[in-house]
Amino acid sequence: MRVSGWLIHLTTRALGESMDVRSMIHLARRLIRNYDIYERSGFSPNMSIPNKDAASQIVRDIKKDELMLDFIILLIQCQEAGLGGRKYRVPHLREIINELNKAGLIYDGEVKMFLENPHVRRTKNWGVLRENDEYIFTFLSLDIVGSSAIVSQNESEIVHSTYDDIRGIVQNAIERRNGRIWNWAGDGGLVAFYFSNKNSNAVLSAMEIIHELYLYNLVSCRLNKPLRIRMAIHNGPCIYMRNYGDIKSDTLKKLYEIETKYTPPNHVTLSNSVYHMMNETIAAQLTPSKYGANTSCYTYHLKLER
Amino acid sequence: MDIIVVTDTAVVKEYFKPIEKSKTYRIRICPCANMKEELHREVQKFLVYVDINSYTTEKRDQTLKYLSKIPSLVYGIIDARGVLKDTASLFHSGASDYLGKNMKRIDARRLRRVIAFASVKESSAPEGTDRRRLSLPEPYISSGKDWRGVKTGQEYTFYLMFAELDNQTALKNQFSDVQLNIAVNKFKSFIERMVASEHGRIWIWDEFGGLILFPYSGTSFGVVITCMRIILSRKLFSVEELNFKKLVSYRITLHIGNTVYRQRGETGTIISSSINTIFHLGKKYVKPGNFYMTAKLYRNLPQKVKKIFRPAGSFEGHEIMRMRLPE
Repeated sequence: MRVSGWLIHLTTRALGESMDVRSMIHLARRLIRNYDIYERSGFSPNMSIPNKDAASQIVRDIKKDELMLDFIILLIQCQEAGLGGRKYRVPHLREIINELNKAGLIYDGEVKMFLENPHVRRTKNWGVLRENDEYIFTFLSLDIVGSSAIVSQNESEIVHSTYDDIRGIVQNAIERRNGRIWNWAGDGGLVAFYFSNKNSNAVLSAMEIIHELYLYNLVSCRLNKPLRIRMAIHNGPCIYMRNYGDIKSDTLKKLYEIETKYTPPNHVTLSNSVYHMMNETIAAQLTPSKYGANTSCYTYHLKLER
Repeated sequence: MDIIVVTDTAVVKEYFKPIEKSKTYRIRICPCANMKEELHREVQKFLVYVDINSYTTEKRDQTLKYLSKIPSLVYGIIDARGVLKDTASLFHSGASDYLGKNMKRIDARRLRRVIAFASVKESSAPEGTDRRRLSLPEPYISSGKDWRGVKTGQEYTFYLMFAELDNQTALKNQFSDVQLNIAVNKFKSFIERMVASEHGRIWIWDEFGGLILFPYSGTSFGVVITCMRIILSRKLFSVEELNFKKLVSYRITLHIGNTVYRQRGETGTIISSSINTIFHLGKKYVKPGNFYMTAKLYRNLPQKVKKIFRPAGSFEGHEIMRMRLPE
């Protein structure tokens, strides 16, 4: 993230005007282990550092280590929840948040994080996840059934435009629920959900995709047969990497296993761990999977009355 | 507007050269073998020209018969070799244009005339002829594909949609006035969002639902698909937007008819049998959670979409069709 000079100025003032040097160091050590302000600033340890200089040094170091967002979140928490049992009145916080809003980030008080504003931009890591850090995600995988046969039996232009349409349907459903496409290979892909209600959001996205595909097959599909898809949803830890090919994750292995072994066409299958995170209204729409002799998964598909 | 040219010969494409660069018309060539598939798949308004010389004698008659049976299809026949003897009979069976051996160029003016002719033909077909051809409202007064051409105080043909929450007494007992107000407002916003893609507008809103108008300009059935989408989205709406512990239920009715257009809030003095029909149908006849439409609309649907509907009796002289609901 590009940090503007004005944001540094505001953060320095907010820090310097809200607490003493001791508390500032304590705060900095939450992000930079064994942070030593004397070593960094060149002040002698037996001298007292003026508030303004200490704040300025800390913010400079925080910026250098690319920890500005985390530090601003700490400042927000100092005001809202307190630090070490004491609440601080942190000035300029509103201006700091406004400055970040201008940079396309919005503060989500529920998850206590800055997220990218989806109306401004949408990146794979929501603008905040760090490469090589592990997070708990909910993943949705989607695969077009019988893609080889579709390609061999239909004109290439029709296949391409159909696959583009499917991607459009997926994108529309998941982006409304703050999901991100991590990988798309023409005939399917992987979607990640990370923030609030990630499990419900993944399941509701999948339900919407199934409904939209049904309508698409009814009126718009130009293939010689209706298009069918399989979807699976699973959650678990995964190390975030910018390049999808570098991601090695047991969670994804399990996800693909659910999709290929336990999911019939035009169904979405949820792992047990996702199912148990559903509220009762959504859970009531799901049925235990009978496909592939697996009893721990749940499925949803669209079936109209006879 | 799409102009679909059904032919197996490259030379026929040349006839349409004058409108190749037109922004209004888009030419699409379709092989004869794919004609049926193409005509059933189309969602948008289109006009079709069939090169009859691309067919064998036997297939030619079958094709002409097939075209004449598709309700509301606007089509022309290209007969560059002049093999058809009785060209007038083409018009009797529903064709709107004929290009014989002396007529080998089609420009935008001619297309406009063909479309105008087709509209007049639809609205003035006599009783006793093919009933499906009477499916358009009479007289048909296009309100355009969006609202730009609609003027206050004038009569137009509209798609009329009625949408209302069910179980109103239970809702009133279950929720406080504030909660209920929030729920109804969310339902209203949901309907507004869902109908926006077809230029639908809420026109009259009562306590739990209201009437939505869609401009009508031709044979597009996107509004029917929108209503189906609203029914399919019941679970998503209940969970995501209302956060109720049970699925909320609503019903939808769709009809087509004429009414004088007035601004929202100034509709009190409008007298329209179509408006009466849609309100009576929605309030008195439709069962909770269902989507019903009048057979006028059903008849113009492609076969695949028709399969989603079942007869649901008749009401005030209208045959009614009901969408099969998700289990």
